[in-house]
Amino acid sequence: MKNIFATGEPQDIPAVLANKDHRAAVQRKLVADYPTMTVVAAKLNIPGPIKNNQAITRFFVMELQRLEKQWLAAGVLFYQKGQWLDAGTGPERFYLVKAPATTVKGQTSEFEEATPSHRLFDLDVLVKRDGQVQPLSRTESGQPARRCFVCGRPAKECGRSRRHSVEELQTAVNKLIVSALASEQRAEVSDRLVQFAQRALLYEMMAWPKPGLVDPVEHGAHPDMDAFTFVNSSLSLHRYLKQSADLGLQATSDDYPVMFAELREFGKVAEREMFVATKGVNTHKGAVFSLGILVMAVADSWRRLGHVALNDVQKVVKKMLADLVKDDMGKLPAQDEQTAGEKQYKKYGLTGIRGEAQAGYPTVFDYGLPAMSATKGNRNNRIVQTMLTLARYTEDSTLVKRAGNPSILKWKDKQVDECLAAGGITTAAGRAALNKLEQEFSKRHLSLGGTADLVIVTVFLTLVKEELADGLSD
Amino acid sequence: MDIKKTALAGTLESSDIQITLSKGSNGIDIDLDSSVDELYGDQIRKVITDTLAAYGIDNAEVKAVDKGALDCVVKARTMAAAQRALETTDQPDWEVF
Repeated sequence: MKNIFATGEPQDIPAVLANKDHRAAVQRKLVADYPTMTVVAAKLNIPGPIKNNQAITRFFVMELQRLEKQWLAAGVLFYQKGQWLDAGTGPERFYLVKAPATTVKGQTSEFEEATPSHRLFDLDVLVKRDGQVQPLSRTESGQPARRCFVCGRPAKECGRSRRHSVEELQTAVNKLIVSALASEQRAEVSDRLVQFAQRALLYEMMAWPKPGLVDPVEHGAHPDMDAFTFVNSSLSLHRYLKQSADLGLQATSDDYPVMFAELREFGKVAEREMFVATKGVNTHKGAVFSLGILVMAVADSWRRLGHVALNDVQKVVKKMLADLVKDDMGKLPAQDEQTAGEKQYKKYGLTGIRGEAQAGYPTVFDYGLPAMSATKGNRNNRIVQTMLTLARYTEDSTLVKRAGNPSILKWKDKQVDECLAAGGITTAAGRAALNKLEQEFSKRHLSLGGTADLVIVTVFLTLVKEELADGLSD
Repeated sequence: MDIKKTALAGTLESSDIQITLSKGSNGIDIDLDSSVDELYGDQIRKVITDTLAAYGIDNAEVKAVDKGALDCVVKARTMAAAQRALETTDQPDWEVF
């Protein structure tokens, strides 16, 4: 385990006492200046000469966000009033809270007991008594006295008797902080993955021109939806994407079939929420399926490896979906409830997105990601070029459904080949071919909805690769 | 040496002790308030008395409010209070420490 005490400026007794004097003066002033508010002083109990460093400050700030959350949830009004985070004597912060001191003491004690690492927090609720500002004690507010975080005896006894060596205390503190930071880091990765996923949904829609898909300029192939519908749909999936990320990040086993079963149930709810947001239009049903799988797979991979490795992500997907086609197609719903993909499996033997997913999204990994890397220029160019490449290698079930015949796939391949041969979006000739193709798709009411889902997944993985790979390596 | 004025050092923060020294005529008279009085009261009184003796103070009224201070903190706060009471300096002389 990492030792956070390897860095930091050792403190001596005079420095610690001078800081106590300073703190007491600040507290006196706050209590005098804000008589209608309760003053809370937040600090850490870090025994030994090292009392602050980057890890300790981060731990302090991160955990206090939880205290603020707790107050927000309780409807308690508060604001921060002064702090010193970088002081060698340890990070400290003051809050003014609009609630009676005894009420606030109950809340701060709850925080101090909430997790093992909160044992390191010392949240003083200050009151004026006998002309002096002093902290309300735990016993006064009916709380049990604090226990030693090494042995569980009353903390005051161990502190006074110096029962534990500095090394023993630091080992215990280190363990608490390292594990708290790891859990905070998981929460941060989860938030980032959700953001990447939502950016991917919106980026895909914004890229122009895209034959057979909705963009802000035109949506002839999809008259029942426009760019705004896609914004609504993308935002409605926030809860689901968060669930997908947390499922992978928090899992304590590698029982992938059960994880996938759980994800699918979350997905059913997400579909309903999407349809509410779009007033009944199917914007992202395929994306709910594929993006959920990939968000969860990246999260799972990060949990186990501590970094991002796309080849591992693909392995997770394959393990998770090993029997997908067999399971799903073995128990098809009644014909009027079947999706385009299900009908086409029955009619033409096309495995569609299920086949692609079960194989670990080879189209995304073998064509989408390389196209994204190879294309120079702005984001729009990269996404459109990637979209063309993916369109070329996808048996798009939406396209087959609209055309009513799988022979459309051959026509599509030829058109896209010509467009790409002309340079795609990167050359004037390619752009002309692209615009013509977009018009033709609109005129014939043809869609590349299946391809769009793979574009979203490719953009998501690209964001993961480019923005998460190095960003959280500590 | 005689105490010239009443002086205070230390805070009511945890792990600290607040020492107030004022004139006395009956030796070192310590009024200690501590949650660990039963276990460590005698030790705290001894550190205060010894520290005052090092400054030549034989007569003083001492009010000590202890919040779990270690001996080194008791000593440092007593030193600061003594020097302020003797009007030698406002800051403790850490060399004595």
